[in-house]
Amino acid sequence: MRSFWIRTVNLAAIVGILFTYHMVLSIYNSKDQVARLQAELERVEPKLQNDGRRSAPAEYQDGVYSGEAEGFGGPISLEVTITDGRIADIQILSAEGEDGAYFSMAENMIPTVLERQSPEVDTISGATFSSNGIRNAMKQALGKAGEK
Amino acid sequence: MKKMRDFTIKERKKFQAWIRALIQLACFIFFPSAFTTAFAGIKYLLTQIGAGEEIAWTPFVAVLAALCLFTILFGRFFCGFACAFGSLGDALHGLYLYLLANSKIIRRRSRKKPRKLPKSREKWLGAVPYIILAAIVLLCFSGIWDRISGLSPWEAFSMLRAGNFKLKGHLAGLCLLGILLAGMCMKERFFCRFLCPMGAAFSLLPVLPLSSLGRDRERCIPGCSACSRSCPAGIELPESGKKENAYGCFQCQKCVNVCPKGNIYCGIPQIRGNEVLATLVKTAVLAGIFLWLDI
Repeated sequence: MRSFWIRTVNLAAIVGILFTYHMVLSIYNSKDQVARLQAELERVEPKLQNDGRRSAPAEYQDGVYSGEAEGFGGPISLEVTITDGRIADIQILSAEGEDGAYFSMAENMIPTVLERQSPEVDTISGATFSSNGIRNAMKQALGKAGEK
Repeated sequence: MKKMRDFTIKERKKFQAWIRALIQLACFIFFPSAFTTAFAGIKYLLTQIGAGEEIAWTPFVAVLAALCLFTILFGRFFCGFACAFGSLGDALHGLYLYLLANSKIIRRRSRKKPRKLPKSREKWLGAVPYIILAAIVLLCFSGIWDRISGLSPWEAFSMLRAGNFKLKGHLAGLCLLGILLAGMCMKERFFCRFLCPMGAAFSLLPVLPLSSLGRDRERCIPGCSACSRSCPAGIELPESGKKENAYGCFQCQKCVNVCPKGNIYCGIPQIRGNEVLATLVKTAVLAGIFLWLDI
């Protein structure tokens, strides 16, 4: 029974360390983000008052564009929706050959793409194949949308 | 109700082997990436911490946590029944045994059984998985792992399994995979016992005594050791009263069925003689976890 308790203490310690790390970093990051957003706001506000439109220039033609690329175990196809020249939405249509957990990890790229308005974001470490598939499919779709 | 021990040893062994093979095949077909996903959880956590990035409840971490919890409750059942890599090894080893028994080309020097490693060597080889786990953890922490992942035999295996044959950057992994499969072919569960880093992580967990097997030593036939000889993990079963777990046990239940006296039972003595029920319950729980997490 002794080794059982040693292991329990070890496991509790590991989980505790991970949890503390998570908490500390998320507090730190949220402060950081507030500062970053504030800076962004100050930068953008004068522009908004000038032309009444959003700051990013229109880069793409409006419409819905599809793209397809090789993922881990087959093709990944998706649809990119452009509204007002901006990437408004990205919908995965099919990803039959992908492994569930890996693909959902790779899907985390999509919010970043929407935020940065560019498919050039870092791939998700550990899910490189699926990430590359999503990225290449987005690039293909955006290629059709054409940069103005 | 007829109990398992009312059958002959031969019938029991056959029944057990079929049940296990069926579960393994089903898991190989439906959840083949479970083992790499759980390990990706470990790698994800260490990579993020090493880079000073935030850690989140990602699908990898969820699978890792679920499998660890399952292992704490039921022992390394995942290793014995659901791991695609272990199952592939079992299939290859089965093929090897079949060829040894039936083919004249492979059978040399009238050897009908695979060679055994000396006990002393098995003991220090058993420490290798922990070394590999520690090495991979350090490589992830220092951020090197992502650049050398072409070395991973698991990645090569996963790619082949998914029908992805763009193996250019994965030649080293492919060679390692070949060596590992050859090893698994010659010695049952060679990889799982002496190399697997995920297994090392599982065997560091505290396992509740529900599933841990023990034996009534005083009822044993002197000098029998059928259980020890049938064990793919090379475990000498402890006395059942002691409640000390054998952390290397994959829960394959071979010993239970091979014992001529029915002396071996798990932490729930009420189901003694019908341990196969426990196997089915564990399979159902594990399948539920996999479906829920959409592996």
